[in-house]
Amino acid sequence: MLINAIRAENLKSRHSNMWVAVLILPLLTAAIGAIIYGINASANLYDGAVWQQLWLQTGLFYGYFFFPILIAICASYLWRLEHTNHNWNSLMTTPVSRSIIFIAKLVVLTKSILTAQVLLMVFIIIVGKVVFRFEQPIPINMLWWLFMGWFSALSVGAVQLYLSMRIRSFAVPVGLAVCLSIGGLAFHIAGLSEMFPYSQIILGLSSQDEVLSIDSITTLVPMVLVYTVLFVILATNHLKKADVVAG
Amino acid sequence: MKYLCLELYKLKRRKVFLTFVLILGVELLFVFSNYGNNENFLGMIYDPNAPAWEDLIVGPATMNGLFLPILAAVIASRICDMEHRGNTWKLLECNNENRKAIWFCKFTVVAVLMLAAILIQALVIVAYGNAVGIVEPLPVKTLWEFVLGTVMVTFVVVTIQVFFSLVFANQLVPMSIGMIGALIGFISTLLPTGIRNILIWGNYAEMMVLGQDTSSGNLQSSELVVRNIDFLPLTILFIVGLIAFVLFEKKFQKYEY
Repeated sequence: MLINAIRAENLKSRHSNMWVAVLILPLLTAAIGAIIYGINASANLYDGAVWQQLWLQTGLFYGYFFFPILIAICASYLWRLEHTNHNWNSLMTTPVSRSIIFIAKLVVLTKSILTAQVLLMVFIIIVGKVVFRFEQPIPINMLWWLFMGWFSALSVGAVQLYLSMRIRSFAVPVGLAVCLSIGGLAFHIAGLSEMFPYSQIILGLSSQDEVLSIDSITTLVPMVLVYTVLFVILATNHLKKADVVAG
Repeated sequence: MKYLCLELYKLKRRKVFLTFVLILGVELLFVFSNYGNNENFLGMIYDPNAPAWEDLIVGPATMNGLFLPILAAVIASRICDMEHRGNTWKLLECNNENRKAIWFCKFTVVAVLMLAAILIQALVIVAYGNAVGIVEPLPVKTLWEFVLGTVMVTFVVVTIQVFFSLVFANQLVPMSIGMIGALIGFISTLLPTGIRNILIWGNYAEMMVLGQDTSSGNLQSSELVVRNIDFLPLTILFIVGLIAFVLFEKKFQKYEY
C-alpha cells in the first residue's frame, strides 16, 4: 500500500518544477561557498583539511536558513496539489490509510532533500577539484556529512509537511520556516541543538565539525526520529478527525 | 482608489498582516536581542565619538538581505495566489478592473507593506538607541540614507516578486526566486562589491554603514570604520527597476490566462 502511495505521489510531482529549486539552491550555495573560500584562501586563512574548510564555508548559511526554506517550498508544493481543484475530496475517499498518505509525501520529500544534498556534494567536489585544484584526496567522510545532513532534515520535513497540510497558502509555511529557522539558530547558540528540528539540521550539516561529538549523535538521532514520528501522528490524527475544506 | 480598497477588502481574514508582523517581528527580535550581549556595542553607548548609532543600523541592514526578499515573496504570493486559485482573472476584467489596475493595486499593496516594514525598522532603531541612552547624536542623514537605499532595492525586489507571482499560477516559481534572492542578499556582505551590485538582492549590502577597516590588508581587523552608502549602484538598480516595472506591466497586460 505504501509503495503504491509513494508511486502515486511521484506521479503527481512528475511534471512539477520542484527540481528547479532542488538544483539551483545547491548550485548557488556551492558558487557562493567557492567565492567566500577563495577570498579567505587568498588571505591565507586556511591550512590543513581544505575539503573540510570548503564544506564548512559552503554549508554554514545553507544549514542556518536556506536548507529549511528549500524543504518548506518542496513541502508546500506537495500539499498544494491537494489544496487545489477539490483534490482533498479525492484524496480522502481513496482507500488508503491517513498515515500512509502523509508518510508517502514524507518519502517523496526526503527524496528531494537527498537529491539536493547529493547535488551540493557533487558541486563541492567540482569546486574543490576543478576550481581550487585540491591535491588532498576527497575524504570518504563526505558521505557521512551528506548522510547526517539529510537525516537531520527529516524532522524539519515532517514539521513543514504538517504545516503545509494545515495551512492552505503556499507562501505562509515558507514564511514560517524562516521564523522557525531563527528559532533554530537561537537553540543552536544556546547549545540545545538536539532539541529543536530547525537546529538539528544545523547540527547535522556541521557533522564534519568537532561540534558533532558521539554524545551529540546519540541524542540527535533519537530526537530526529521522535519529532518525525510525532508529526506523522499529529498529521494522521488531524486527517482522521478534522473535516477537509476542498476548493 | 476603488480597486485598491477592493484589494484590501480581499485581504480580509487572509492573515497577510499576521504573516507580515510575524516575519518582521522575528527579524527585529533576532537583531535587537543580540545587542544586549554585544560587548562592543555596550562599550560604544557612552562614548560620544563611537559609532553606536551606525552599529545599530548595521543590525537590520545585515538581516534585511535575508528577510525582505522572503517577506516580499510571501506577501506577493499570498495576494496573487488567491486570484489563481479562484480563477478570478476573467471575473475581474468583466467587472471593469483592467489589467493595469490589477497590476498597480497588487504592486501598491505589497510596496506599501514593505515600506511600512522599513519605516518600522527605522523607528525601532531610534527607539532602541534612545532607550539604551546612546550619547552620540543621532545621525539623521545616515538613517534616512539607510531607509532610502533599502526602499530603492526593495522596490526592484517587489517588482520582480509581484510579476512572477501574477504570471505563474504555480507559486513554487516566485517562492524559489524569493529564496534565491534571500540567499544572495544574506551572503552579499561577503561578496566583492562589483559582483554583489550585479546581483539584484546583493545591493542590500550597500546599506552597511559600518565595517571593518581592512585598508591595512588585514581581513580580520577589529577596527571599525563608518562608511557612506554608495548611491551610484543603487540608482542604476532603481532605474533598471523602473524599466522592468514598465516592461513587466506591459507583459502582464498581454498575458493569457
